[in-house]
Amino acid sequence: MNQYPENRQSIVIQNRVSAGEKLADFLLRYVNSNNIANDDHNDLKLIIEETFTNIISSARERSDYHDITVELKCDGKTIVITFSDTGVAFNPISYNSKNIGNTPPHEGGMGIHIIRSLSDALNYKRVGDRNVFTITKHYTKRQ
Amino acid sequence: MSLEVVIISEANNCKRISISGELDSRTALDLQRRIDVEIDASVATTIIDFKGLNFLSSAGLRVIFKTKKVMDDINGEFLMVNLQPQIKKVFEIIKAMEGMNIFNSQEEMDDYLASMQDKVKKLTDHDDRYY
Repeated sequence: MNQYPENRQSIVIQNRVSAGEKLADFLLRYVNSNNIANDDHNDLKLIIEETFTNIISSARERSDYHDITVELKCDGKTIVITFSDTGVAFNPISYNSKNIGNTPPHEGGMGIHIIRSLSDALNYKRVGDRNVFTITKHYTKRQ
Repeated sequence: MSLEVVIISEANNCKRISISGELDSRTALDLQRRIDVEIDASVATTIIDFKGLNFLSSAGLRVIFKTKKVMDDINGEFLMVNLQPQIKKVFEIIKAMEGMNIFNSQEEMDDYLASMQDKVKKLTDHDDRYY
C-alpha cells in the first residue's frame, strides 16, 4: 500500500514571461513541503521553465494572452506536473528532438530535448478547448 | 530570482563575463544586451565564469552559443570556467560539451591561457628571427 497520500496543489498564472517567477516560487514551496531532493528540484525547475517558455512562446506569436493552470501531484516517489491552458492547440512534444545533434546549438529544439531527457513520461491531449500536457518524473526524498 | 552580470577587461584583450543567479527566459535578454555592447572584434578572448550561476535554461544556452559563434567568427577564444554540476548537466543533456573549452577551475584555465601565450610568443620570436 502506498503510505504517502497524494499531495495535489495547483496555481493559475498568466501566459507571460513575468509569471515565471511566481511559478518557480510555487514549485519551491511544493518541493520543500514534500521533501523532494535538491537534484530533483533542479530538474523539475528546468522541466517547468522549458515547458512554460514553449507554451508562452507559441501563444505570443498570436498575441493570445490567457491563463495557464499548473498542477503538481506527488506520492512519495513520482511527481506529475500538468499544464493546461485554453490556447490554440499546441503539442509541446511534437518537435523532433533528433535534430539536436545536427542542429547548430543556438537554434530550436533544445527546450523540448531538455524536457524529454529529464522526464520519465510525457503526454499531450486536447480536451475540448484545452491543451493538457502532463509530465511524470520519479524523484527521491531528501535524506 | 535575478541575474547579476559583471564584465571586466583583463590582459591581452580578454573579457571576463561573470554571471550569478539564474540565466533563463526572464534574464537571458539582459545578458545578451550586455554582451552585445562589450564583445566586439577587438576582443581576443571571452571567458564566461559560471561560479555564481545556479540555474541555466535553454534561453540562457542560446545566449552562450551565440557568443561563442561571435568569437569563432572573429577567430577569438571562447572559454567557460567554474560550472556547477547542475549547469554542466544542462550542457551534457544537449550534447554540447564537445568543441567547448570548459575548465573545472581558474587554475586549469590559467594553465591553458599560459600555454596559448607561450605558443604565440614562440611564433612571434620565430617570425622576428626571419624578418
